[in-house]
Amino acid sequence: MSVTVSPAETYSFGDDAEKPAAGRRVDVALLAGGLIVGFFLACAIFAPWIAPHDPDFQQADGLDGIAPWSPFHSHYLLGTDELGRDYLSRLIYGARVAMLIAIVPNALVLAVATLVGVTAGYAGGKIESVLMRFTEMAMVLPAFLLALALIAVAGSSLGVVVLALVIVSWTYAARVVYGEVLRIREATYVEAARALGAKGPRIVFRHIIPQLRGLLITYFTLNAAFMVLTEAGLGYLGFGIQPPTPSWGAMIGSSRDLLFWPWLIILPGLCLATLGIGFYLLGEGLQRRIGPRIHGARL
Amino acid sequence: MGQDEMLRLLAEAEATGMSRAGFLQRLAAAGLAVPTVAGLAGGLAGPAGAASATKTAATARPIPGPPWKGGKKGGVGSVGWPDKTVTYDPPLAYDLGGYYGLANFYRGLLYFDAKSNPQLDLAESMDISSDGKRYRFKLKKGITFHNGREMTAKDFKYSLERSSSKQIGSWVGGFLGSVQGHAAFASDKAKQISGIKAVDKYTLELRLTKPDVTIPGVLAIPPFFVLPQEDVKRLGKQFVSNPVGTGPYKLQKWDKSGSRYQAVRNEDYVYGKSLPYFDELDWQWNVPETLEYLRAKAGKLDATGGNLANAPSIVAQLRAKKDKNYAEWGSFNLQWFELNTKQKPFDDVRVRQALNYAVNKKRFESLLIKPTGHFFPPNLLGYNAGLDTYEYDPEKAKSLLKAAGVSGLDLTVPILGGGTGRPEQLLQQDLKQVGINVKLVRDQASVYDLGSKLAAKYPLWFKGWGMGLPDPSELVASLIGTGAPSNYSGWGNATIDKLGSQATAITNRGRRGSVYAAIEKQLMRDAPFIFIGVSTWVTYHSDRLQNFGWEPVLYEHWDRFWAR
Repeated sequence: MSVTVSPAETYSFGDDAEKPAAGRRVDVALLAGGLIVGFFLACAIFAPWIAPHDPDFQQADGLDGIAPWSPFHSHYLLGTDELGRDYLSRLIYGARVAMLIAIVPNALVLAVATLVGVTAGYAGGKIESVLMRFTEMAMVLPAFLLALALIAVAGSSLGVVVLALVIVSWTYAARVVYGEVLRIREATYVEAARALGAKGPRIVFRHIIPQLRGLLITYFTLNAAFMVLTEAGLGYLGFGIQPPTPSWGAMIGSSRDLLFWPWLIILPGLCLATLGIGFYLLGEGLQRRIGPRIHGARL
Repeated sequence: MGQDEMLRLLAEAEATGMSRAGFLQRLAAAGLAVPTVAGLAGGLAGPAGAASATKTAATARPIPGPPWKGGKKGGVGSVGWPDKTVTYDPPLAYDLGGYYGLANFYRGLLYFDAKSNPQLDLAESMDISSDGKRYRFKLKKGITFHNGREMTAKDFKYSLERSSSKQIGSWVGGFLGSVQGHAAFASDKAKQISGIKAVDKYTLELRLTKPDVTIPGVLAIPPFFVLPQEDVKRLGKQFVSNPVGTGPYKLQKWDKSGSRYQAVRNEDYVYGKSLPYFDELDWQWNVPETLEYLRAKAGKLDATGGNLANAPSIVAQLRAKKDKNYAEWGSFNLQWFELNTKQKPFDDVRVRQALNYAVNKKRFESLLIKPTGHFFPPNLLGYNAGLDTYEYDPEKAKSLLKAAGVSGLDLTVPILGGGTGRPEQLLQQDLKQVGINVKLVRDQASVYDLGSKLAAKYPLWFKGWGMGLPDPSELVASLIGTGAPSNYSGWGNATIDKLGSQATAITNRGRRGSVYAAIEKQLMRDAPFIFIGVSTWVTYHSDRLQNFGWEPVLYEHWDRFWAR
């Protein structure tokens, strides 16, 4: 749908905004990102079937004296860690934590951000002021330290880690959603709906939120990388998922005094970096495809 | 026969309960004249003879401490430590770089040798009364503090009282508990410890309520080294980073932001003609073990201070290469899991014993812990290599658990104080094999921060203890006696308490060792702990550093290392 509201402005939304034209090249970023994320998602889902060993089991032959087996061993393809656990299996299972963190708290962040942003953006007035001032106050708090403090107080269970990530991440998303809602609420079709007697909730759910779809999907993928890396940082410091559950960040953190067994740090680091790049590429590609546009340009 | 040999024979006679006749024969065999022999033998309390009023337990050897040889003076010695150094106040120092650097600046009446035996240092002689209740020390004359003033007996009275005071709150506060008047002083009911007397300028006397053979060892540990009262008072809180003592080095510059200090040779050091070798020390802290090793290997540090066992990948490499500059040492650092015996089901000894059978201690070798299965470290008095310990036997563990009616047990075990979690994960897997599910949780507080609160939170926890006093009395007084300050398990055994109290009064080393062996046997039977072993201490030093050594009480003695 394309609506001209003034001679100088053209707004385009959603899927009809850009259809692949015949002969248009494949979006490489979208493809690459999708493959990378898809690969790790498959690892996470099918871990019990593809991991060669129990990731938590300290193998009796996993250590040679006090030295773990190094990569490309016949038993342990990527070697073992300092407690004799198969590292390939731990990396595969580590994808579960990474994808869980990429999806669950991320979805919660967007749910909270949508609630706050839409309410503030559509309601206006005092409600808008209160919500946005609260959001801005929350934004200035140092996010990582806040997460650490929360986990230090409430413990480092998976639920607390998810909650901490949500608490420190929702503010930016709320601001983005709010800004978009401010733009959408002035659209002619919204005015038209209002003129036809539609009430607020109907307008929000039928006309505003659907227009946020592209933004939310794009933000979800871009924020997923942030979530994964933040959890890895918490894990590195010992505040994330608890041992023996494999988490890439915790695997790096527990190996920082084992520098002469470098695979213990390099391999999970590569996984984190690759997944992060995958999410960014996916987000970039989706933004080009389905993100909101003004004057034909993506926002 | 030289004086050294004489002293060795006296020590052997005491330790083995040698008869007077046997002692005379040994002396005669060594070629000592009979009148001298007879005169000396009269000083030994034989089974039928009357003891003299006092015996001279020791007279000073030339320079106490570990041996050294050769050496040339000059240069700067450097070492790195992993912890943050907080204080150089002797009774308060507890971090590695702090506590194990006290001997650079301070000395005391006695000093440990490489075999953890206390030897006379600033005291010229030590007389012990025949009833073991009076220790009299003659001080060497002319020893000065870094501020130039001569050290006297009053300085020792001040220092010993300060370390025992409630205000200071030192971990050694109770170590002189057998001295008359200690209890009143420690509870602020008296202004001084009446049993510590400066008889004259160079004579210090300790009067005890009961015989206590641990006194020489206690006085040889750094918290009881001598301080000048006027500088302690003048400097106040600044004293922690402005040490003033009688030691081989003087502080030149404390660089807090740079996490290091420079110390220079004390030209008035009592043994200054020989030691120290280095003109200066460059003492660094906040250096992780990995970085210590890399710097030492590159020649930018002379030695590591921390334990390279905390960086096992380095140790594996050094072992493989058989590097000549690395060494592994037996320590007095105990490692074990403490059980909350006030909480079911650990109030049942069968369950505690089951856990001991369930854990494969050999797997702790990967953490560079020597899995002795004992509580006492090897080489400690009372250690009995023949003691029956808990061999790995998961089937026996299961049958004990079944007999105790325990099945499907779920435990929450903490990883305390930023620990690696490795010991806890080893435990987790072994207990799973016998049907006990362990969930691990991180708790940022350390075991000693939590202290007695541990029992309210957790069923068991991993614990380590570096012995400050190389005597089993410390383990009874601090860890296994009923109500001991670091006994967080809630367990106690009246037999052990009684034996422990008796043991400090036994002068015969062999007999005393037997009593402590009996204590460990009882401890093993009661099993309030999952016994693991002692940690190995791994060091690395640069090519140029000579005479490097390590011992388990004061670790590295930087007054007798030198550079090629």
